[in-house]
Amino acid sequence: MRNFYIGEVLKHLSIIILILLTLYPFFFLVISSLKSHEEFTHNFLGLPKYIRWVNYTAAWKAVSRYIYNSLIMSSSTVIMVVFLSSYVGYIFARYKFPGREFLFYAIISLLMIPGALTLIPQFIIVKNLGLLNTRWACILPWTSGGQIFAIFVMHSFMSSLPEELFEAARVDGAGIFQIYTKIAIPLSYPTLVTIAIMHFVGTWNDIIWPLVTITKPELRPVTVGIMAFNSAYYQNYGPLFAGYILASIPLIILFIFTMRFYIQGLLSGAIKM
Amino acid sequence: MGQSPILKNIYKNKFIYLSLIPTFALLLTFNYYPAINALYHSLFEWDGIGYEKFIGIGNFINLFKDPVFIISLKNVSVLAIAGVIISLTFPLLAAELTFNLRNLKMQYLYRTMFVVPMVVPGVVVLLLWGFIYRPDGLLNHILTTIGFSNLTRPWLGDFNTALYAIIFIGFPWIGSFNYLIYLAGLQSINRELFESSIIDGATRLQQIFYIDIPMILGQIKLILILTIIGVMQGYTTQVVLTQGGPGYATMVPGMYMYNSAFQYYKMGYGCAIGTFLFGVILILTIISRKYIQAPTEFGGR
Amino acid sequence: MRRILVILTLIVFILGSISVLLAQEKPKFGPKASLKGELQVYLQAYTPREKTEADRWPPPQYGWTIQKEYEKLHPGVKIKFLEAVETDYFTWIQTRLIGGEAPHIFWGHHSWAEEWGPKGLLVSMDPYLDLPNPYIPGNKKWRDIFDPGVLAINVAPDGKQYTINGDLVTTGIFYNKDVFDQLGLKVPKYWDEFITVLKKIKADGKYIPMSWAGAEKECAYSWLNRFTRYPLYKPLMKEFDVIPEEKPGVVTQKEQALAWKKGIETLSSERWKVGAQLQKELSQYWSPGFLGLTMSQAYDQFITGKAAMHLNGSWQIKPVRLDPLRKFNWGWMPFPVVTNKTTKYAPRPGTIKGLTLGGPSAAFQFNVPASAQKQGMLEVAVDFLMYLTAPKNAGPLIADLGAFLPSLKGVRPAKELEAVFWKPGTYEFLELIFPNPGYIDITEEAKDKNYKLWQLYIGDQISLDKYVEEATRNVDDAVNKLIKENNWDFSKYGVK
Repeated sequence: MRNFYIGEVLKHLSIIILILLTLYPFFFLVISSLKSHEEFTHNFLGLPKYIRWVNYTAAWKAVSRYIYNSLIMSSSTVIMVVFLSSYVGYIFARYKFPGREFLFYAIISLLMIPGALTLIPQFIIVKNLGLLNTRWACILPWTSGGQIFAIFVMHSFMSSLPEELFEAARVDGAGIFQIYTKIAIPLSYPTLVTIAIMHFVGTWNDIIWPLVTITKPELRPVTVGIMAFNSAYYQNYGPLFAGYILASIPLIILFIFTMRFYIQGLLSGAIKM
Repeated sequence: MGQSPILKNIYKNKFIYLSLIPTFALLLTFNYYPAINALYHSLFEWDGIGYEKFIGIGNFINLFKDPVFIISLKNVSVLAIAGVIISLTFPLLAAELTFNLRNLKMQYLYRTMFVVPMVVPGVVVLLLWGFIYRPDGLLNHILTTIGFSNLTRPWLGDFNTALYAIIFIGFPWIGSFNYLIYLAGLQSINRELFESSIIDGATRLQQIFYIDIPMILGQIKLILILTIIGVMQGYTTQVVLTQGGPGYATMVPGMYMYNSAFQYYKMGYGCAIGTFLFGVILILTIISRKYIQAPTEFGGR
Repeated sequence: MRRILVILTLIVFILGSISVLLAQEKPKFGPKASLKGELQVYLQAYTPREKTEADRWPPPQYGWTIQKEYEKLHPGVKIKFLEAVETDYFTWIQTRLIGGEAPHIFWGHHSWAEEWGPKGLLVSMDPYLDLPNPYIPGNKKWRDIFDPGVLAINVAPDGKQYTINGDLVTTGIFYNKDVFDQLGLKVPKYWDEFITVLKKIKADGKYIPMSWAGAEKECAYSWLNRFTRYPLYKPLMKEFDVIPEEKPGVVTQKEQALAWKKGIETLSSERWKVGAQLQKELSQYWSPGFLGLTMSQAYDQFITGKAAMHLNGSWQIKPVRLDPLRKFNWGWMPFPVVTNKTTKYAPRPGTIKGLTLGGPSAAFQFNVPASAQKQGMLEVAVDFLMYLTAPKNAGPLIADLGAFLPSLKGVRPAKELEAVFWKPGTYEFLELIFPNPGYIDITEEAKDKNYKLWQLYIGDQISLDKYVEEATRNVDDAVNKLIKENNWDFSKYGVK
């Protein structure tokens, strides 16, 4: 009995140590965000001598007007990706047709193309489609890129569902799309939440692409608002860190409400190769 | 003459092909065109703007004569091997620890805490690790405090330690995604296997090696492939922290590709590097899939 | 009688038409020109910003004054200042420029412009520089208000001027006055004195003699090369400055390529090796682990009192002056000059006065993309640049930022800078005369690769001979590439 107790304590201790190590860098971020830049320089590792809330008020002013844009753009692309990837994943998983293997691997292999080379061609395409300085300049490429991994996840999940469910519906005469809406989707809610959150977070934190394609200040996302504290010759780390933290707050709020489903989706055990 | 069976098959599935159109329309426009553009230009001497000259496999021949490229290959191989070992151990360790806890409420709390770091952009994490590695940063501070001040180093400035410092970034390497995937795999193992092994007198450790790991090979394969894809292409860390230096100690093909394409106006050469990376990743992926067989695999209908 | 009347009427009619026509011909540039459109401008550090409570000091705002006054003069024009692109600016501008969507006026480092221009991405400013600038009273040619050295240095390999400049990169060594007083040190003017000072500080053991950002290609390697090699190569100016049509008194990139092909002073010469050895000698006094230090970390070492000296630019005066937590008195000195007391290749003390970089343009270097012409905004862009560079506008703009010395004639610098830097005649702006002594930065690729080699050499990973061998190959490749791309014909100078 005692061995069991010690075993449990050791396990808890080990996990707590791992968690503290994992979270330390963010702890450092928060502490540093409360210092002025000069204090950050002179008192690099210590606790702030006086807490500089001004960092947060200034960062909030810089960031808040862009949160709406980030919300609209990330939500739009998430809705599109959830629909496209679940439908396509479902089709690849549950139906045989000529070219199925080839097309599926053709999609997945796009993950293996290094990103730096595609930046300029993608920019030119977006420009030629007349999308520069519109939200679509970000939403469409995000959707196109994001659906690749999402299709992979949904395919993995859809493959794991028992055939009997689908057989029954087919016997009743249901078509491809009907089976999708009435059976596949309801079973996949947690996994859908998972890909939604992964894509939301990924697009929310994207810096380079929105910077390059959108120059109208009214349309820029939150990652750009933070740039106000970094100029060509000087940095201002205190408010910059505060800006990063504030920009993450909508994500944290999203997490609080959806964490259970996000984890449940990944824990459905079906995601593997 | 009768129609060929393949064409008949295609016609029978026309609704399926129609359903795939939106996805492929997007992919063709935003992903395939740039990708094929890049693959195509690896056969050219191209400055990225106007000047183009077809040179066939000239770029590839020059690549293998280029000492910088060879060093970058060596470095990225070290990073890939280390990355694979890391991604197969630490997140799995954390998942096993969590899985084996009795207290479900604590399990839920710990799970959440491991996932929180996801909200922070990757660039910020790199910036923070840059601060940890500063000569007056946290790592040296800890070493001095516990009495090992002779071990303090300029981690990113020393030819011998820079690459290993890069590997060490992210310690303890429990990425939220990897952690949850492993945990999911563990949770989906059939209880009966554990029960019958206890009857046979197995210890927990034996169970881990003979049940857990074989049963989550599917998850392991996935993480392995994703890690390879990520590490081989990666260069953001180098751009933010070392620029490939000191010297070429941390130069990787991804960074060399970026420099060639953007700074040296050797876009064709950069595309050749990209094509090479794509080929290597593809081959490694195929090998992983073929040779790591999971005991349970589902196919389609 | 009637014939005379007809002739008179005709004359009046003709004169009248001519004067009507003349009156209708509005000027292309200047306050009376009729211009319209939305002009997108990226002024880099001069971009005006709203003040926030978390600012370290008030941000520049004079840009808005310029915008207001210009829009009053030209009601059809709207000036839009672009913001927040400074994370990885080069990738940003490269993508937009190649994609044909660059701002109509944007900041471009002159070494980038030297590649963009010949490739057709930029509009040449030459035709406009020969016109009078209507915003400057009494101006006959726009190019007269620019420093001739700055203009000459910024000529691209194809002979054209793509950049409009207004300020200078002035660099020097910040030093900790208290440490100098404490150790009884005198401000060194020459290299031998410099080494003595550094030795004493190192022997004392309490301070890093000089902090150094070995991880920064531009500041720590490029600048170092110029400071250490300029005195060694200046005596050879006549041999380098051999193409008559290029500005005399200035060594251009084309002349360097020619000199290389002729074999004048290669990298395997004693003179070149001495330069490398001087740098290596200096490196033993630098911060430990300097190869991994960024400029901001090197600065931190100085400002927290850990390092006694720090090489940086005029823009750093602001943070140094305004840091409330700085605990010491500071001073600034030009980079000590190498003299014949150290090596026979350098001239006598006093031949070269203090040395400062004087890089042609810091934040005030602007290009106009070719796409501006397609979008019909070329005239507006040129006109705004003319307005911007008029001393009555450029002066307050540059002084408001308070970070750089102006390079336009008739413009005085900000008071804080004047006190520290501006003592005309006391030093040379080496970049305006011989920007690349020793060849090695001749193209971006050569610069990058030789920088890595330099790190290996300074870090004791390769020998001097290996360094020379590899660097020679890089310069060779670069020179051949330049000659091919620009179709330079050196046969008339006796070179193949």
